[in-house]
Amino acid sequence: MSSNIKIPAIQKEWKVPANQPPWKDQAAQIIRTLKSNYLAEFQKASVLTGVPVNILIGFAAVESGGTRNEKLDLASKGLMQVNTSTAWQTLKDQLQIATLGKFYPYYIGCTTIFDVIKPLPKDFWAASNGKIRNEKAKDYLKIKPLSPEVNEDIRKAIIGNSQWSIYVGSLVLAQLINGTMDKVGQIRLDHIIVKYNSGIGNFSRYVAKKGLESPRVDTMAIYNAVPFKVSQDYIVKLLGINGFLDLLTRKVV
Amino acid sequence: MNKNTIIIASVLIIAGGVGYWYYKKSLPDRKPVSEEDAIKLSKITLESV
Repeated sequence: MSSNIKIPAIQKEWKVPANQPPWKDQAAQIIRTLKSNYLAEFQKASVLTGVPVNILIGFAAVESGGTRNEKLDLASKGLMQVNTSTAWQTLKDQLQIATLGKFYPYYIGCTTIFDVIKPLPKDFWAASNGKIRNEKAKDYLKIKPLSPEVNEDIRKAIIGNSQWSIYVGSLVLAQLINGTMDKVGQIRLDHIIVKYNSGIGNFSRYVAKKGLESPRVDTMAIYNAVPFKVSQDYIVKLLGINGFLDLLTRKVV
Repeated sequence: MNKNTIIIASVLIIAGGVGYWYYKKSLPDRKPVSEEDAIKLSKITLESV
């Protein structure tokens, strides 16, 4: 299976009002802001999840517009705009297969949502604990049920801890890409945008059940099939001409 | 190869294809990422066209 994604994936460019700077300049500025504020966090998340940095920055650019985390209002959900219940389910699923060392960054950023069922070593990253870090995370940690308190703790961590917010957003993306690769046999960021932005249920309703979840169906057809303007705009801003990934791939920024 | 063999083989191929299609459709949209999966994801490249 090819791991190569061709950009732009759709021959459309985001239109901005005539009294605003050109879209390309606006998009480049958003990327510059994200890189200057969060590049190190994106790089760490990329190492942890495998998702390339440019894809993480591209999604965050659409989701946050480059806004610094602390300036987001309480209704928003951090740089990657992850829903709290999605974050909880994603962590729960990941806990079942991860090693303790790979899961630890998710745990340490929001410890109150987990029960420790076997004591963790005090100096976790010490060389002497290498063997323990390779053990199964689920033998040490259990995620609490999604109560209002857990929901609130996740929301606070997503808003207040930019690194954790980026880790969790990257994990959601990594799981979606992983699932899509298995289902379609291709890396389809347009499919992932619809699932990430409108939800898996809507992707199923408007794409999969209409026979469009196929490697032969192009991004324009997905764009036309989705009845949500916000998702259509997302596709154009991320995958279109002078979109975030176009600028990042051409190293304009 | 006689006619019956061709018919049986065709039916099996079609049934296999339909079964594979249903199997693919039933896969989860989100799949937890193992360390091998993370290595696979890290090899994704973006190409400007």
